[in-house]
Amino acid sequence: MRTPIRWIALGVALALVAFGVVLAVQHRNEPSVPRLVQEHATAPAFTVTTLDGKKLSSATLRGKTYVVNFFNSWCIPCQQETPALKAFYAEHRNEADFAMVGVVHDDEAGTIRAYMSAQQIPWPVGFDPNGAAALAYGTTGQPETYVIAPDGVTVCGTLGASTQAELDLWLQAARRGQECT
Amino acid sequence: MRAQLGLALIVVGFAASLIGFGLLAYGLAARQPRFLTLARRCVPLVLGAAVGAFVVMETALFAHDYSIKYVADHVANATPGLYTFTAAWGALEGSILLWVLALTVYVAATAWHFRTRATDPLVAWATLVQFGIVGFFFALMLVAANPFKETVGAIPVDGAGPNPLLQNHPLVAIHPPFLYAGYVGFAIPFSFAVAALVTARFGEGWLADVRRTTLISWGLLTVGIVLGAWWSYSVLGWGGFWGWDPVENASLLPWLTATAFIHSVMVQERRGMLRVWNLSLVLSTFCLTILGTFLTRSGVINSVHAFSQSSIGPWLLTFLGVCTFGSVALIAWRGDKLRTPGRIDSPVSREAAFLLNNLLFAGFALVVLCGTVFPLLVEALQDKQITVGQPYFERLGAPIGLALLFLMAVGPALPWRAASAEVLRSRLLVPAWVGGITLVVAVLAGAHGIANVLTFALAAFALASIGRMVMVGLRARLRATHEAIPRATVGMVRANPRLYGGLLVHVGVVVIAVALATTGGYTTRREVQLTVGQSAQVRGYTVTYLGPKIEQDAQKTTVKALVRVSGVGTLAPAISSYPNFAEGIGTPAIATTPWRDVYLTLISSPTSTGQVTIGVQVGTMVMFVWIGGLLMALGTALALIPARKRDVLPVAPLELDVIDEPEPLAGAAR
Amino acid sequence: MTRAKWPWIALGALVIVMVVVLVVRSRPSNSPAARADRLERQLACPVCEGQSVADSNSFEARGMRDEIPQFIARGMTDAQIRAYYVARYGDKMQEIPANSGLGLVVWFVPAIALVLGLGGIALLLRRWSRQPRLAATPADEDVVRHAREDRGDRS
Repeated sequence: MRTPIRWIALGVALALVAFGVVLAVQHRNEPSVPRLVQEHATAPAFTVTTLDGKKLSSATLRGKTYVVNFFNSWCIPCQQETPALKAFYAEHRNEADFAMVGVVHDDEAGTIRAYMSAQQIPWPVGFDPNGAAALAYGTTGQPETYVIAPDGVTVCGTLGASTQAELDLWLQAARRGQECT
Repeated sequence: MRAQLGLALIVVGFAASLIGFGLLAYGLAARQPRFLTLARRCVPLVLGAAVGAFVVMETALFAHDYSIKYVADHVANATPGLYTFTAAWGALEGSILLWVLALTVYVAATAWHFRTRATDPLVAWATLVQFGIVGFFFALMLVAANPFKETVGAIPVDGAGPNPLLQNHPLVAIHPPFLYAGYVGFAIPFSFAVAALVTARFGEGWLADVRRTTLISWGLLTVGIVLGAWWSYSVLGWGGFWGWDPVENASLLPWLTATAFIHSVMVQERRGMLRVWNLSLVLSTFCLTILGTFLTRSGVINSVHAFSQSSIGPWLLTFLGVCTFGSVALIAWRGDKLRTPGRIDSPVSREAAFLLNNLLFAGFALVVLCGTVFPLLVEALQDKQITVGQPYFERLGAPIGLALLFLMAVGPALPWRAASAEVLRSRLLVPAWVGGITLVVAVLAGAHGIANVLTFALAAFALASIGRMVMVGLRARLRATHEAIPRATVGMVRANPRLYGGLLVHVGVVVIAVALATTGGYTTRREVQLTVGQSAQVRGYTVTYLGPKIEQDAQKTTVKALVRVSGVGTLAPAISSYPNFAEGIGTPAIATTPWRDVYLTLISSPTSTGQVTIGVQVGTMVMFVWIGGLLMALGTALALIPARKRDVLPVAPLELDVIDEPEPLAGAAR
Repeated sequence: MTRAKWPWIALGALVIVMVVVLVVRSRPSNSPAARADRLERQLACPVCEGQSVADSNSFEARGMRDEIPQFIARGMTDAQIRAYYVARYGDKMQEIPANSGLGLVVWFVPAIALVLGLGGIALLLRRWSRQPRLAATPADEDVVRHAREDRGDRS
């Protein structure tokens, strides 16, 4: 053909238009609902070691409506949500079917111990030193909170700090077998 | 006060570029040379505005003027002086300011260089384009990224300080400036290429005009990229120096097309061929620079390097669109008139080698572009996130890299037009056998990894070929002048600095290629958990944990782990915590010799039981990456030296490149 | 074949033999350590920007470096281990794009472009070498003669 360059240029231009459209429609949405909750998946099994050296396994929580909270002592939103968690726990701790477990995410024993006594955290906290529990849950940071229904399905939860009102709502939904998302 | 002054200077810069643009546009349209010369007056204004704004920013940083939001966000009272200075380019708005500063310096230098040709339409169009680019970036600061925005509400007494990654190593003072000086310089050849297309002066004049700027920008960008690799290795602590991170790729893309251009212009200079290639390469280089700017600043891609999100994205995308579609349109308009009747006579010729070189570099750039942009495509089409990582780039890049090594060995030895079998034999047979023997030795020595071993063999081939060229040239000169060897070497290089500078750059590239093979194939990594006094063995080294050490200063708190390594000494990898930033920053401890690096990282701080996790990495020949980079920089500097006329021996012009021994007679019996 | 070609043929043969030896020698090892290393380099760290599990020091990456050898010891195949993490973190865990569907595009586009480019160059070279060289016309020779006279050449 007589004008090959013109045709090549046209092809390149079309490819560029497509490329430009792709670049223009980019939206980065940061998910705040964890994957397990989105997929209504069965909560993974885990075993952690409490500060006094005892093993705490998720098997003992079967049949209950329980809350798993991944946290540590140095993350700012974790510190911000602690009062809400304490109020929530105080409200429900005496209910027979309720349980709450804190799992340490990327921190070490000494600082956690100090943090727990400083904040007066009453619920059981377990260590996950090799990240097995975190990886089973598919965590990407902290804090992350999961609410699991008695049949073992993860119904509600969030990535990031939670409020007492949210926690109450999720607990109700889990007990009634309702949806959160 | 400073905020207003800074903003006013930016407005002045924008206005001056707009006026200059307008004057040139009118002068060209109405063919009034007076306006063209008048427009030149705007150049000092634009330069002054950029320099002034930068100076105002620096004074505000050092004075801790927290009434300016940028200062409050990026320095703190405790920030040391060096990092206060570098905070000027540590975040989005300041980086645009640095960009504009570098650009106006180039524009001013170019305007001064062409001061006697101000009325030449080629120069005028180029200056028009330059004003357009400068004006855009000044406008960008006014509408989307104002570095002098004032703090809203109460003025804080202390700032947040720089990001920890930007204040724990002095390299932050040189890596970005070199990178920007390199990137930005490509605007000048771009403007001349546009001017050449618009004025239909496709001859070789515009090439000569921009050759020096292109080479200088290329050299600075090369140094900037190598410094970035050094930073990645010595500061970031993950043990490698190139992660195919989108921002790293963004700096590599224009480098690849610019390298192709620097080689391809030789064909246009010699034989007037490959014009469309050359124009396309120059235009793409600048467009890729803008693409890189867009990718790193728009928040579109997540990266270790990415600046925070802002509204700057759509503006940069529009500018990218204008530059790219404008370039394509110009090539489409003029492209077919550009094609010369010249022909490549033989596949075995230097022209063909350069054409293949262009294709390989363009191909490599396409690989990097696809890999970088593909996650965006998938996210737009299928709304899910994917990763394109190192394995992809290596699988596609390795064959291209090997082919380029081969070309480096063969290309400079190929004659122009056509190579006869005798020429190939006299110039390439011995170096090829050197490569072959290296291959055998490597295989017999037990080396593994096809790409690695082929790299060694091709590197030997290339070095032998280069060595042969130098020796032949030296021998011919010695015979002609009877000088002492050192003097002859100097004379030979000074007679043709472009050739020998280029050969030195090639040596640098070969050295880096070898280092990539050795570090990629022969690095050992292990993580060890040790309590105080405990040892572990890694690849022949005994690593003993001696204990922790905590240091505190106004800037940060550092926890160090003292580790003794047998045969090396005591190293102290560390983790530093900065106020206002939750996560700690690791600092590796490296013991370097040319042949091996011992690289320690502190993976987790000492627990309450005193146990630490230490990463131990033993790498082979890492230092050769930096040595190769240094050779490339020296070679570029050498190539920029003008040839000294009196060193040039009187020879027939066609043989100026390499003075060879007389070819054997064609009919001679073999 | 002339004698002049022998050194090249010998070299070519030597290179081929060595490459074959290398190919045989470099087959990827399936020892547990090699598998773990390969998996760690081919899985992306789920919480980092663009680092592989092998390179990252984040909590999840360290956890995976602990878990993967355990999975291998338990008898899981490479594919099963990959699927385990992809189920938890999504497709972004794979450092290499999937070899199916849209993932093929990123492999094919550069490969096809290069093949087309090489093919194009080969075709052009063949076309050019088949065309007769331009011969000087009498008009050209006139131009040259006049130029030499202007320069005062004795010819």
